[in-house]
Amino acid sequence: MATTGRLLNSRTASQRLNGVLFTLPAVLLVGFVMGLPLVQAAYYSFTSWNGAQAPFTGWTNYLNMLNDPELRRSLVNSLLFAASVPLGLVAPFVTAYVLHKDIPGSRLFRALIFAPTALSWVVIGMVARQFFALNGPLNSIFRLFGSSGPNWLADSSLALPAVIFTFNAAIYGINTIIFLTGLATIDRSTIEAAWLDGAREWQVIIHVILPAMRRFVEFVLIVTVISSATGIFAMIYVMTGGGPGSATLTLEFAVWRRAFATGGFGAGAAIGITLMLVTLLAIGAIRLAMRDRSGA
Amino acid sequence: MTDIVAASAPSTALSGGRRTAFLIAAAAAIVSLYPFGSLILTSIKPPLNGSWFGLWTQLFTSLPVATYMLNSALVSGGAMILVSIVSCMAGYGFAKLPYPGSKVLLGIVVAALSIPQATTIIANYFNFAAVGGVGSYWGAILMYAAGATPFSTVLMTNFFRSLPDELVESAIIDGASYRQVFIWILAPLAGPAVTTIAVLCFLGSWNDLLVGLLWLPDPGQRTISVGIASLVGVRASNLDLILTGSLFSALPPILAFIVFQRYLVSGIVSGIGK
Repeated sequence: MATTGRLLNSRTASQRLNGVLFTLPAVLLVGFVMGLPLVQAAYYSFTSWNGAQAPFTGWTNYLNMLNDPELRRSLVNSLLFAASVPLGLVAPFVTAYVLHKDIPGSRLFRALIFAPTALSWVVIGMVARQFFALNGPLNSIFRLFGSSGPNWLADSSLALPAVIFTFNAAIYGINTIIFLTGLATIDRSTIEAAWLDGAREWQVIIHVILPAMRRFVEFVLIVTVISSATGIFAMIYVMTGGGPGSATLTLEFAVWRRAFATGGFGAGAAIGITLMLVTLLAIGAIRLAMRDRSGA
Repeated sequence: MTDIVAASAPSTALSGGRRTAFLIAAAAAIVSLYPFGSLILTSIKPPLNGSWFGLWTQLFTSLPVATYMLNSALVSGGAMILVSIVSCMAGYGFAKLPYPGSKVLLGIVVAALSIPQATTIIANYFNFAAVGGVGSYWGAILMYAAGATPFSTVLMTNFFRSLPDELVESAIIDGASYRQVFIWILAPLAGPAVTTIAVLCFLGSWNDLLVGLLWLPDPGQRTISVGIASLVGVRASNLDLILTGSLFSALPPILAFIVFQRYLVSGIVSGIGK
């Protein structure tokens, strides 16, 4: 008995030691490249750190998020980006829905719709830059009707809609595929029952299919909002550089502009922390909204 | 291919609803080809006073694109290998070798998923600069690998949890060490899961711009994304050349995408199960 106990104990000790050693590299990597800099950023966000000195300035940087017109604009733009997401998900859902019907060529269509996901935000941004150019493909449609068309990306009221459109167009393919995966998980008998009850197609979609896909809709909403807030620096960099002025500046891009373009590292840190908080709030709001709907 | 909706609806060859569905799907597929069509047509059409494919010649003679591509391959490949090893090990540790505090650490790794890169980029830049990691490949590799580690570790932990504990225990009773169990029994089973995280890390690193801009500013170390993006503004007039370069830069990810497509979808939706 005693021997078995000791053997088990030494096994547990060895197992624990190995557990620590096997997880150590990942923990160190996350700790030093994410945890530590997060704490540093939180600290520097209360200073006017310029790369050399970091005098403490209290809440100034955060108040500037509301007082500084450029930063206020970046906050509003980021919120507009997030607000565009639910609307931007209509097309992927409709496409997934029709692809899920037994139509000829659906495998090929699915592959083609997914294909642009292979392109980076730099490449997407370049294609969009050409699409919206003064003599680009979009304006050639305007020319058909005898108008010259605006200079989309240089116009301070049109640039943001153009950039938001490009973002939603670029994530259309991947979201269609995720919705398709969700549709494939639905138990067909519930839908057949609704059909037999004489429900119309849109009734089946709203009352049966969407609730059954709740987790997928929530996942797509969250992932898309996160990437709109934190993943499109490159697209904005090549499309507009945040301009004209600050017309297409997002919080994410403002970090770059404040910190690395003008040396305001303390201000940049505060923008970064604000970005994280806004993103977390948005995720929380989506979770809450989705829970309410499922209870209905 | 199961079909939910048409199952109980009349399913004659192409009924009205299905014809509309076909037309919508076909239109969507054609529109999705727009970026590829735009890139390819722009790159092969003759520029002013030039010849067909003149832009490609111009691209290779005016820019060190081969160097850029090699730099991208080096940092993306390095990050991909590093994150595969690190996440595979951590997944094994978290799933099969629990220790006091391991749950908390896994929770921290999961929480790190929601830290935006832009939030930590400034502090990271100065930390890396202090130890010589800015301006060197290893700095960029560590940045990319760390960025991919939380997601990859969670995915690998879920994967190893799905394997029975007896797999480990019986081998340990037979006298194997925990390291041997990992190398000879569990890691070989993890092929598909590791492929998923490796491809996602490769695509993410290859397509990145921000870390490349900051960590590898030297023209000789420049990645292809940075090389292409930095042409904007410098030669704003020659958008066609930039698009040709963009297409060239996209060839490796497109190839990886075609080969590993099924791993990508399974990896991306793996977060939904929880």
